[in-house]
Amino acid sequence: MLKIKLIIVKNLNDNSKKYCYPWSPFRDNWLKNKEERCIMQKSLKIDIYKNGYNASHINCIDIPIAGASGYYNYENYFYYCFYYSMFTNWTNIKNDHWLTLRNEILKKIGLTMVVNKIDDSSQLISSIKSHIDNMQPLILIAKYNSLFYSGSYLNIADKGSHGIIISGYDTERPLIIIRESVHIDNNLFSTVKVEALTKFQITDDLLLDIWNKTNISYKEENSLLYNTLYNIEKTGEPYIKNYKELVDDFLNNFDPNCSKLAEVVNSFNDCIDNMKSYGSIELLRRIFYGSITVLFEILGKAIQVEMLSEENQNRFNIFKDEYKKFRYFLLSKLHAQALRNKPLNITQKEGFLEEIHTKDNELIKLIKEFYC
Amino acid sequence: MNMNNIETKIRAIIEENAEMQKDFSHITSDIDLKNIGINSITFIKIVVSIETEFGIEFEDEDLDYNKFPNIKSLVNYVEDKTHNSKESK
Repeated sequence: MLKIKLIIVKNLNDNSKKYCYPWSPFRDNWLKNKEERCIMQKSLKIDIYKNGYNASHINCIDIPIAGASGYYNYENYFYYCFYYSMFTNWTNIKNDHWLTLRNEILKKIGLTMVVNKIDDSSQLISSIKSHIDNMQPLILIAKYNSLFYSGSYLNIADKGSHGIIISGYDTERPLIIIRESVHIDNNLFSTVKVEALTKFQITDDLLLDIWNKTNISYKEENSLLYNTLYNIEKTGEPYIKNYKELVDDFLNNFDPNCSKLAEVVNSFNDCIDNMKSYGSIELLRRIFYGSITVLFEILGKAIQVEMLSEENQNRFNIFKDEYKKFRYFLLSKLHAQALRNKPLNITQKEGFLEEIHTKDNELIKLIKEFYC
Repeated sequence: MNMNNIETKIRAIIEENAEMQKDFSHITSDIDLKNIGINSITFIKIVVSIETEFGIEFEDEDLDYNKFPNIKSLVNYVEDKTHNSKESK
């Protein structure tokens, strides 16, 4: 402690910038090497999106895709999250392949997600470097139990997948720069607020460990994700360039008759057993409640709620609260009915369907009124 | 059934569902359920287990964990429900 104090005094008297911070006799070398360090890393600039979303809103594969799209334009992250919410709640798009929906969204912002098959793991690092050199962020969809920094590492019971952005590499040292969207404890995410897209670097070997362990699982599962790495690249000019165009597109394409929530209610009595598991209800809550938070937040941003009259601000906020409250209640009711082994009677079912339809129509009416 | 018995049973149900908190010996009845790892999903599981245990059913509008911040509020609710159902018999 005494030694540190002496150094501080010396620094203050010295009045030289180079000693200001950190107060260390190694500061000279640190400064000398700082420039070299920057050159040593090829890293794509992606915001941390501290004001972004977590796994209670959008799943841990689509948040990284949104983040990677943000490399091309900061707002892409929000456009992607908005469309993800919209398309998972109301859509006719056939979800025959998991990439279909994602690429429909990315198409709106002039991007696409490309599949790279890497059958020889010794090619993984060179493939990553080649994409980064071409300024294309990558997405690796790993198994939780292959992530050494996850609580599920080597836990064979955890078969979930998790997306990671790969955004850079070190030219001198065997290091890969990754971005983590959320951390990674399913039991915690709903109670712990975590930062989005935290940046850190791991060695090539650790990345290969993730890759190899992940692909052992995917091979066993005969998964489409086996030996696959995705890159996000530009295909042309974005169709959506600002929030005005985003809302226009929403108003033109929103169809309350395509409600996925209504589909859930309609098929509830045939799927009661499926609705009992934690995983299923967590998924439904995320899609039909969590992502609605995203939708309202971005709509609010687009229509500039704060610029509306006080009366209209209140109307927007009250409607938002009622809309979310209804969905929260409906999902709780469905979950409780499933655990009680009680099907919905016809009156309950029709009541819920009508309420869903009414609320969706009110949503579109309100946005039209405030926006047009 | 007295309040102590109700509380003991509800504690056992919560303990079974609380994934973050394993040792319940020092948990007071007014601790925030969110702080012991109860979320909106585990809350519904707890509700249905309570229903089965006490032969009651929560009203639709009460399927909301914001209305039940702690063990005490659940105990009071069950006490009211079981008391009312006895009176109506």
